[in-house]
Order: sequence, then structure tokens, then C-alpha cells
Amino acid sequence: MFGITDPYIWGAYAACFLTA
Amino acid sequence: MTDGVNLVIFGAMAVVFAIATAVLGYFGYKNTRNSEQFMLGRNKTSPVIIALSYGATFLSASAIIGFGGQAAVHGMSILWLCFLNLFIGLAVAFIVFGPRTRRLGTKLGASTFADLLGKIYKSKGIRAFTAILIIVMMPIYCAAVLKGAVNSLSVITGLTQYYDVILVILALVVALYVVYGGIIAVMYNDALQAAIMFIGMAVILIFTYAMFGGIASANGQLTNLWGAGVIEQLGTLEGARGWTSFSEFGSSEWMLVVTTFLMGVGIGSLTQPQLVVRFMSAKDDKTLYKSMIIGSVFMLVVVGAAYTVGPLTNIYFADEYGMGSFEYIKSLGLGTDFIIPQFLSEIFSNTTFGDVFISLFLLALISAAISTLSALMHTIGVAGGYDLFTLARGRFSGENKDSQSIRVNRIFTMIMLVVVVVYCYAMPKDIIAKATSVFMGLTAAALLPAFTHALYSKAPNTKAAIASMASGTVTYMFWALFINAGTASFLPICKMLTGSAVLFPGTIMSGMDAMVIALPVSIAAMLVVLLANRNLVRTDAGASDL
Repeated sequence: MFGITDPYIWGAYAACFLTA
Repeated sequence: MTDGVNLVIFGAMAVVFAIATAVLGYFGYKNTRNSEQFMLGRNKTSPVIIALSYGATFLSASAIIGFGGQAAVHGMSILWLCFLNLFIGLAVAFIVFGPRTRRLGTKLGASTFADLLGKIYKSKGIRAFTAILIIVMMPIYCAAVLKGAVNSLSVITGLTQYYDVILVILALVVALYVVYGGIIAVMYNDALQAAIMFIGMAVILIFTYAMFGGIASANGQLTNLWGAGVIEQLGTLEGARGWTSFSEFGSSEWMLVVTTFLMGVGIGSLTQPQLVVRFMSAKDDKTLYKSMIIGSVFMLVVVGAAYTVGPLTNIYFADEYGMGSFEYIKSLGLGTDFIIPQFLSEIFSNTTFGDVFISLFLLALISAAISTLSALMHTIGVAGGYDLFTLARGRFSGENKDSQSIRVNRIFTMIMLVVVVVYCYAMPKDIIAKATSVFMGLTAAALLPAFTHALYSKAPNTKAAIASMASGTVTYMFWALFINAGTASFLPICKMLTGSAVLFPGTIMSGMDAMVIALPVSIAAMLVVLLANRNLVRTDAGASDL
């Protein structure tokens, strides 16, 4: 996703947006 | 630094900023008629002011350049701290802790965190302990924030020979509006500073991604750079797998990132005395809930931008110098705190309006530092001038009413500011992120169980709170000074006593942050006393009829 393959990293971005 | 900033442009922006600060400081001064307004300013706060003040206080320069620099070394896994800031620092804080803190604070007539805990538990000892913890430990965090701001300011402007002058000027600016304007000046200035931080960080994030050809392209380049193996010195520990990958579970790198950076700071935000006061400043619960709207956008952009730009700096430095950010900044003789300032001063040095952008970033950095500093100084000042002064006066003259003197608060704030400036000269460099983690970790271990119990128990148990605070503090200090290699180096007591830097060097324990041990110990101590005293609990206190 957006050039990042590690789910533990794009998951962090997703978690940030969902929490906001 | 390669280039200094254009001092004329920066000077002009700084003058406008200073005038705005002075106007808001005067507004605070005119509206501070009594001690309650100096400490809480309850009638002058709106959801926007509370949201921006909470956000700007929460995020100091430490969050932007301290942890941004750590993200440049340890990668995007630091983004989980952005999530924790939003989830724990905002959602949990404003839903679980905020409304009850506000209601209990109003009901009991409490004006500070120490005052609130003391009144809920009906214990002068707890009030004194909390106030002393603030007065002893908070200046360390305060000095780290001030030092971080002065370091980067002096290096970016190229005025390193005026380091001392810059430090004293910044301290005086904060002192003037905190001492005279009280919490109203602090919160209105926070809102101005938050706006500058938001614009500055948003511009930097957009500019950085645009420079590397878009989001997917930049992230792909970062992944490939690590995979190519061209960077020799990475600065990471064993177990790191890349700037766009999480480290190997249980490895040294994983322990550092997860226990120190993520948990220490992520959980520690709940018991920050300077943030708890923000809840008590709200008129009603609705104000707090509305604050979450702006607060979440502010924190997402400012923190997310810093932790994303940090890792991306590696692409630029590798292209320009064949080195990663860590190696390059070390080659300049600087610490990781300078990675983001150095990156910005280089990329903006040859662009149109580059000086304006650098000046904007500098102003954002000063804003981040001053907003946190002013809140910390206000908190330290009232812990001494209100809490301890009230307790001391009660002991010597038998008067049991809370002190209503603004003057004592002002004098104590000034004295503590001098102490903070002295601390600045006694502390090692590269300490911002670690000092933040120590202060937040210690307050969490000492106060979080007692604070939660105070808010949610119908019969708060004073003995359980004291057991939890004492065991949390002692465990944290012992672990930080004798076991954890990262913190034991600050105050080398273990080395003096045993000859070894820590008691168990090279083991998994030496990489584990003190809070990970001290908080469970503190919770366990509270539960043990609660169970032992189950039949003896007080029935007359706190939240019973809220």
C-alpha cells in the first residue's frame, strides 16, 4: 500500500487515520 | 550546518510572532483577577482553545525533532507512537479520564493535579508527594525541551556562539507571559503556536513527498535503499529490518522501539499533570468532546508528518553524500535531534521562498518548545506556590484553606525557571527523547493506578494509593538507575557502586524500559492493598454521588 509492503507499517498509518 | 537561515526574513517573522505573544500575554494578565483564574481560567476556554492548547502542550519540540530524528534512524515503526498519541493521548484521555477529572475537580474545588488527588483521597501526604514529584522531576523534562529548542535554533540560524543568549531569551519570553498572564495567556498562546506548528509541518510533509516523486515512489525508494545495502552505519540495534519494516520480534531493536519509544511515551501521556489541568479548565463535558475534533486532526498531521519525514531523509542524504541520515549527521558532529533541521535547511536552501519555509519551520519549532515549556513552568510554579505553600502554611500557622495568593505562584515560577536553566547546562546532549520518556514513564508508574482508582472508585482507598505511588516510584528509579542501560548512563550511580554500568549488562533486561516493570508493580501494589483492606475501605469520599 503506497509503496509499503510490511503490514506492521501500513497498519500503523491505517490505525492513525482510523483513530483520528 | 551548510547554510544559515536568512536572518532578516526570520527576524521579521520572529518580531511579528513576539508581538502576537505579548498581546495574548496582556490579554491573560487583564483577565487574571484571582488565583483560580491564574490556575484554571475556566470561564475563558472554548473547545478550539482546549484542543489546540492540549495538542501544543502534548507535542513539544521533542516530538518533532527528537522523535522525528529517532524515526530517521529506526524507521516508520515509530508511526505506532502517532497511533498511541491519538488513541491513548486523545481518545482515552478525553473519553475515559477527561470528563470525570473535570467533574471531580469542579466538585471538590481542586485547581491542580496534586490538589485533585489530595482532595479525592483526603490526604495531605498524597498532595505533597505529587507536588514534590512534579517539582523534582518536571524540571528535567522542561530543561530537555528548552535545550532541544535552543540547540536547533542556534545551529540552524548559524548563531551557535550566541547559544547562551538564545537560551536566556527563550526562558525569559516564557517566564514573562506565564508569570503575568497565568493559564489564560498560556492557553491562548498555545493556540497561536499550534496553528504555526500545523502549517509548518503540513508544508514540510507535502514538500518532502513531492521532492521524491509522490508517496508510493518515495516509500519504494526508501525500501530499496535499505535492501541495496549501501549504507554502512545505520545506528540501529540488532534485529532492524528496514525503514519501512518493523524490527524482528524480541530483538534488541524491537525492545528499544517498543518499550522505550512506544510504551514509555504512549502510556505516560495519561498522567501528565500539565495535561490533566486542561480537562479541569473546561466548562462542561461537551466542551471536552468537541475538543477531540480539532485535536485529532492537529495531532495526526503534526506527529504523522514528523515521523514520516524522518525516515525519508535517508533517501536525500544517500543521494547527496552516499550516507544514511545517522551516519551523515554523526559525520557533522551532531546528534540525531539535528537530522530533521539539517535536512530542511539543505533542501530549502536552493528553492524559491526557501528562506521563508526554513523560517516557518524554525518558528514552528520555537512554538512547539514554548507551548510545552509554558505549561510545564505553570505546572511547576503552582505545585510549589499553591500546593506546597498551602501545605506548609497549614503546618506552621494552622490555616487550612487553600492559598489564594497569585504573588506566591509568580515568585515560585520565577525561581523554578532559574533552576531549569541551570539544569540545561548540567545535562548531556542528545537527551531530548530519553528525558521525555523518563518523565512520562515515571509519572505513569507513580500516578496512573492512583489516578484511575481515584476517578472510578466509589470509595477511593488512600492506603492503596500510597502503596501504588511509593512502589511505582521506587521500582522505576531502581530500574532506571541500575538495570536499563539507556537511562543508567545519565546518573551513573550503578557504575560508582558496582563498577559496572548496569547490573545485568547484555541481557534482555538491560534493554527493557523501567516503566514496563514499574507500572505493573505499581498496579499490583494497589490491588494487594485493596484486597487486604476490602472491609476497611472508606465510604465517604470521592465519586459516590457524581
